[in-house]
Amino acid sequence: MLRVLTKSLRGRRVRSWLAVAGVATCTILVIVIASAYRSVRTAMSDYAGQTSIDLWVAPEGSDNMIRGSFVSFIPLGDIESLRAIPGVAAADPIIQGFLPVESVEPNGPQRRLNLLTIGFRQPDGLGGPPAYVKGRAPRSGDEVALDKAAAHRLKVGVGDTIEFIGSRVVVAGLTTGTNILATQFVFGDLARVAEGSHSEGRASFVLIKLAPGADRERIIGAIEGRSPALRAFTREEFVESNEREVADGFIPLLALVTALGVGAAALLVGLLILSVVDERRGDIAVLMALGTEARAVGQGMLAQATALSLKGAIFGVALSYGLNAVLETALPTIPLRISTLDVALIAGLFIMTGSVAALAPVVRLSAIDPLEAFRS
Amino acid sequence: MIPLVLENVSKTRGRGARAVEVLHGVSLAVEAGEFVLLEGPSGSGKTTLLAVAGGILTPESGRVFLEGHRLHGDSRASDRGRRAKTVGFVFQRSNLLPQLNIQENVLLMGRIAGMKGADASREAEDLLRRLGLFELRYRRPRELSCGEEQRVAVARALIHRPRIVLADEPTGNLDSQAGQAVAESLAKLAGSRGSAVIVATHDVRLASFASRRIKIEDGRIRPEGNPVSPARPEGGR
Repeated sequence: MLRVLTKSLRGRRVRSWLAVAGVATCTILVIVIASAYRSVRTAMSDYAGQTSIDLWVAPEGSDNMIRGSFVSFIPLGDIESLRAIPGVAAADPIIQGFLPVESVEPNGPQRRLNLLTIGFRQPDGLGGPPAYVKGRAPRSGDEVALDKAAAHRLKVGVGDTIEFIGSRVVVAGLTTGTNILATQFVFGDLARVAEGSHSEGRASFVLIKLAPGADRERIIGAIEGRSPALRAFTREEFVESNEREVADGFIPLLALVTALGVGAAALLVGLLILSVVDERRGDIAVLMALGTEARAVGQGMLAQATALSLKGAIFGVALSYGLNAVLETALPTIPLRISTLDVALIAGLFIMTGSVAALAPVVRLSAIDPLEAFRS
Repeated sequence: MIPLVLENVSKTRGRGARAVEVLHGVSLAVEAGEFVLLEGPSGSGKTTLLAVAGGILTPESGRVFLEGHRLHGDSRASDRGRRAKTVGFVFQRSNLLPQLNIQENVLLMGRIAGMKGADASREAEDLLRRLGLFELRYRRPRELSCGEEQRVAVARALIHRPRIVLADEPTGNLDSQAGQAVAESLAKLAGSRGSAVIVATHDVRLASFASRRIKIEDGRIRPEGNPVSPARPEGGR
């Protein structure tokens, strides 16, 4: 009965498809924002969470890469004392800062970007790129590894020369998981980056690799005991702190866009059902005159609203994956990491909201008099 | 059991200063198999009487019995269920649902009346065959002529073998030939199923199908016209 009622009170085809398209567009919008958030969060955690790093040592007051270490530094002289702590297998400094990178003329018009620059001990020091999509790690001060999206923006590839802190260097590798939307990572030689950022003799962070079986908590205590200006974090703590920092910036935007998207979708579905109730008033009166309960008619309307929202959500999800594939090759500067869980939650939210939005117009059914069947 | 009894029914439409008493103490009993013509000018209360008889409107006073069950009592849901099972409606326009095909329109009433799927399908096929519409069963209402649409409405009204069919100006929108075909179909099929029929109409040509004619004016039934013998089960003329 529900199926027949839903079919018999279906809205006009074009309007229904427009509503579906509207819900799909809103779904894509929210999925894109959520996926961008997921991507930035993952990029930060991919870098900070490299398994080769057991502890992050930061200057007091700095507990993540986004907010910290631009005003306070760790003197490089402290590093030797950290290496001397029993259980520490390796301790390497990194220095970070926003530094300019420019393409050079043979590759087309000059382009300049300010990238999040990580200076690390090349070629195998801790804190290098988490993964490469092409090429290899830089081996000398004349080579850098560049995020693939930054390379796309600069129109350069592996083997090309770029201007990096006033010198020409060769792009040895392209990295992935190093795009945080607002900017991308570039990895260069520690000394060159320190010189370029006027931070010689200092480090933003010191990364510690522990010896097998070492007592992590004891070593953290030992590090912090050596200098009250140092704080040591486990890898997990540092990742969590970076993720929290990303979330603090993103979540309000994500929440706002989600609310606007869901609201727009709800309006579309609600309007469509309202138009169906108004346009099909005569048919509804006939159904009621024949003995159909208003509640059954309402259920038919709700089923229609749910079906529209479901179609919109499904199309939105499918198109989001398609868009992601296109962006991946055509516009890698917009990193999207689509999470199945996010998609399921967003689709569920849209389906639920669409159904709820139909409740208001369905309530108007009670104002329809079956007697209208005799007049229509 | 007498299919329909109205006892001293009064009904007012509108409110306050605009209230108009449309039915004044109407009493009426319709026997099984009768084909009753309810004649009267516009505004005489024909449609209101049908709506009250069918349980759609509630009278201010008086009693309505469908198959011995008093309508407009405590439970509207119960009234609705009884109406769905025992009453068939034919409106001035066919009022078929445009999204459904002919067969689905007819079956819909079977579902509303609570018929089993197989029974409803069998009845729908039988009715559509007898009405010459079986070949058109998958067409949408807009693909039919007005006369064909109204014959589908007759099938819809009869699929659940109602005890009484209430028809409001069923030939009002049709030319004489189509109107004749619809009236003939209604009388013939209702008669064959033992359903009583009340037709509210201005159309004097329907008199030939009537077993009884009732005139209504200003909401009062006038005892005019001679009762004639009940409609023959398969004839009606």
